[in-house]
Amino acid sequence: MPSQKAFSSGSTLPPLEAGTLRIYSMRLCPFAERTRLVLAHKNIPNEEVNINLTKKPEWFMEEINPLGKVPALQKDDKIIYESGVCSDYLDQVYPGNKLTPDDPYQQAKDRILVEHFGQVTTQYYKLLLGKPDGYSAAAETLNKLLLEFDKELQKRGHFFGGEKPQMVDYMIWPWFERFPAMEQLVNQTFLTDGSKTNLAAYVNRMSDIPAVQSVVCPW
Amino acid sequence: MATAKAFSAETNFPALEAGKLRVYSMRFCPYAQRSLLVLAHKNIPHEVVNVNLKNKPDWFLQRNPFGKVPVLEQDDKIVYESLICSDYLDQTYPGNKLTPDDPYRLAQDKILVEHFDKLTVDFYKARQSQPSEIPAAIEKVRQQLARFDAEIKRRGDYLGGDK
Repeated sequence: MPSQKAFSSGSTLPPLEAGTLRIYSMRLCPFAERTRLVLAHKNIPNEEVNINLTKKPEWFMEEINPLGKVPALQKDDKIIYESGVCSDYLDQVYPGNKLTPDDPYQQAKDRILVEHFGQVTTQYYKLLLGKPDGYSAAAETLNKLLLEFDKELQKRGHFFGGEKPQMVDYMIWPWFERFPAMEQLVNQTFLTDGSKTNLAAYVNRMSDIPAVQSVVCPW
Repeated sequence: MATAKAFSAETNFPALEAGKLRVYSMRFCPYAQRSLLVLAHKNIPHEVVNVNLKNKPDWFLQRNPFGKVPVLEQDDKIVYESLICSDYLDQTYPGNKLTPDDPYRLAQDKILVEHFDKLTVDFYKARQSQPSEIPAAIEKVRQQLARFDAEIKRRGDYLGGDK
């Protein structure tokens, strides 16, 4: 599965068996990884179809997702896209190992946390892909944000979801997974510089859980 | 209420009574209006505090570091982001339920809102574009509106169906 070829422009839509849940994905995409983590956590049988996002199949835009992005879910006549929507849908439709808190306020707080994490990913991409003269500002902002997350994690427990990983953890994990690679490329440590001890322990803890191990990209 | 002055940077935090639900808003903000609509639909008693978004009070930024409206506050609870506020209200206050029970329908509705948020980005771009760019910018918005026209036809009197 991790070495499955990706469908490109000019290919034909692979036929989907009745009743099979399919996820359109890409091996390196952190957004698709969110939904793959949910599938793994809840042991939901699924079939993976990888999409070449640099040369998208025509059928993908026309029949699956007009926005041309992964993840997308398809089962019989149902099609869903947007990583947050896919992940929430799976949690609602497949009972067992429930990932979303029952309390509406906790749910709201978790969703707000994921929104705040968007600021982390913005700086992360600025470091990786942005102009060199923006580097030190991005690094400073990223560091500040990570310290805030470190403090927040201390309030919440072993995971952002509390005592066990919840949806909030899976929604942010894909970028934590990529941090060591980013740190190597930009030659600066963030998570492991000793000032975010809670986050550093969290990353190790998350790396050990079965869902993360089953989905981790073979770098 | 509609003419309540907006609180600016020099103001003190307006005291909040225990148990009272407050929404921080701005009279012309469409995002805050989302939550005001939900509050009105469900007849949820609340108090509105308008914020001067061009000169924000510190006490407001302490509540929402993003500095945006809407924000809900009740006792020690604070919620922000318009979609999160609206969903929180629907879940916390029963009666006149606004979200479909069917998970697939719910997913389709969220996807539609996502499409509409992209449309509004193009709408603002069209408004701010150079005269020579306007026709192309408007065409982009028009094409996206076509999706909603088709969805209304499919769904009924409202995007939500019959109501």
